[in-house]
Amino acid sequence: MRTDADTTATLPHDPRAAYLAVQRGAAFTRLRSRSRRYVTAMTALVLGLFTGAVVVAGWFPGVLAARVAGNVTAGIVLAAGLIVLPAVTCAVHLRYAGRRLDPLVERIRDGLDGGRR
Amino acid sequence: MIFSLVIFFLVSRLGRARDTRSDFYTADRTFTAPQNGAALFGTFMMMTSFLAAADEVARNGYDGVLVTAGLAVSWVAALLLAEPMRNTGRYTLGDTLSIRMRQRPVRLAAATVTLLVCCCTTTVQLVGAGRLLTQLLHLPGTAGEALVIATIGGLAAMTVYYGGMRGTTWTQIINAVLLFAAVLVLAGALLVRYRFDVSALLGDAATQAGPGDGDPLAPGAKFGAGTHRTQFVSELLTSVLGYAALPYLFIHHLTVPSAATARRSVAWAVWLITPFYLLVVVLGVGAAALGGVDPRQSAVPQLASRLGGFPLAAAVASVVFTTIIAVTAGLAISAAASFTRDGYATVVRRGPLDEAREITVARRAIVVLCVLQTLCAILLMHQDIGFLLSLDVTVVASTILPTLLLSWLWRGFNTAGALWSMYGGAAASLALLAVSPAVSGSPGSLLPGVDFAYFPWTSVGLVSIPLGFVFGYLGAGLSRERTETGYAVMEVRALTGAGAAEAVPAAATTERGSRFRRRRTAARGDGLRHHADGDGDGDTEQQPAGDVVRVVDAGEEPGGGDDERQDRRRPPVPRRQQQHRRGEGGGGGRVVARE
Repeated sequence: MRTDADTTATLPHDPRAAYLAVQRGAAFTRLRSRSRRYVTAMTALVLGLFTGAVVVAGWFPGVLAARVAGNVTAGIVLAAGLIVLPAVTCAVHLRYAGRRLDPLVERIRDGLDGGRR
Repeated sequence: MIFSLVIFFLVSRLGRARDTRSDFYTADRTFTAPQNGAALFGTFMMMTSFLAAADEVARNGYDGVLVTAGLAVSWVAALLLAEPMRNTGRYTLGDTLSIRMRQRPVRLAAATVTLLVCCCTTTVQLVGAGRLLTQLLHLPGTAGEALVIATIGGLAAMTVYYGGMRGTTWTQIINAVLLFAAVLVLAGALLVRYRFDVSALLGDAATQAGPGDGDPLAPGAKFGAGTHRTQFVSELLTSVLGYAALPYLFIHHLTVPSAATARRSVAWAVWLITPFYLLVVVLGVGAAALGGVDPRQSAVPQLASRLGGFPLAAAVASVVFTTIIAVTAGLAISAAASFTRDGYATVVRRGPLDEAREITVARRAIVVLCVLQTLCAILLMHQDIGFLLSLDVTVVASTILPTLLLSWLWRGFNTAGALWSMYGGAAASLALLAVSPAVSGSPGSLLPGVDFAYFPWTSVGLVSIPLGFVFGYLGAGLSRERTETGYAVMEVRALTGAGAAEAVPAAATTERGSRFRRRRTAARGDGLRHHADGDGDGDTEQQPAGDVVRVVDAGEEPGGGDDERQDRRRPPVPRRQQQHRRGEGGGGGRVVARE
């Protein structure tokens, strides 16, 4: 890319190079592995729960037809649980991202600014 | 009618868009989390996710409840996508992808997919709305329906034309409030009637369903034998994965000042959606309980007229009316942004447009798109085109979703991969759908007379979504292009938000704001042209170098120039301003106002 070559030639700190340096840094590696682990776990859990519920509904409908209280079936309870699931996920996500990811992000962004100053 | 006049009054007060890109497409990124959350909710609650969900519950009993649950669960995906979207996004999908890829081809592909999806959705919405409102308001036949469609199309076009993203978002917020209130009133009336005895309500719904239909409180209606079951699984999983990546939803991740706000605004949307969907299920069950549903009509308005006669039904009709306007407006603005930035500027003009010109083109595009879609909707209004809705969710899940995920997460991804996964995923879903029972071979399909349904399911997501990923992988493997640096930029930006587009301070229009910007530029002094993201393949260099103050005053320069203004925040900035930036995390624009 012509552009990049030109920019690199004239700039003391090539911004793209700075990104590469950050990407290789220890703090970023930690952030990445933490965030990937978290996102994978979250996705697997939620998709797993949902798929599980759907499979039970499709292949073992008898289980969900059982009456729990009056006309309320086990299936209705399960579906209500699924509808509430995103709210629970959100609460967990806000907490995790705020406590475990944001501090690392702050540090990396400060480093990125500091390195260029 | 009165509702829409009120909306117009408010939009004209709150949301006159200025002629800058940032304001027109993303309302200067100044919305707060609750506002944006409400707007997300208002955008999402279109025909499928509100009225059709209640219909599903009323007609298919328990399996309809699962459809509703699938729509709710899709918000988990939206939650996880929001932050990287905000961090790497500018205005359109093409902007995000061109951080790593060669601009022209990916922008063209992104525009193709976005326009396909937005146009399909708009047309289906308009057709559905026309039918529904004609029934509700007892308008005379075809002419009335065409009139309703044209009114909605026109009003939506006006909202976007004058209000831009700001006006659109306010319309969606108002719509969210109205919708929630309407559902609350209906469900309240229903539950009071049953003295909050959910069991009795369910019992009535069960007895209303005729014998031989099976138990509506247990799975069965959509889970037939054999392939039918897998088809329903496919439908549910597609909706979980597809809704989150809809282009007109993710443009709302860009209207907030930071990734943290994007996260919180999705959370706000979820706080609204959870009770809303529980109530929608109650409404669906209630519609079934109070004497069954006419399958040719929507369940919620029928329930409303049973509960409160014509006044309540008319109120619901007007809420539906505003809903369709808000959703159509949201669709129109993301389609126009995509058309102008990704399509027109890079393909027709073969280069970025200047800012004023771009907004003019976007405004014209909105008018043209709305007129075309209105005409399409009027032409198609007697066709059963509901399958187009499932089509575009499928297309999104098998094109945009794989492309975004791979370009954020996979080092080896490149331009060819992105093109393969977008065109391939779209082609796969269209082709599979064309040979599915949705198009031919069964009584409910588009062409019932002929039979070329070789694919067994009407919902093709279970096959086409993995195909989208496979195409991306193959395409990337077949091309020798390596995007290591671009990947670094993309990954660091996605996770940390470094170099992400900032909120434009509210004061920016005033003299004060522009003075600040000028001062900031002057403080840099060196006039160097930083070019941090891989966005521009040379756009920046088309501008005269050095004359930075002029550039800033003219607003953002096209294409690569956009990044320039934003990058100015990251590269050498005097320490005094550095401190200001620290506190900026969630607060956005205020920082500059203090200055």
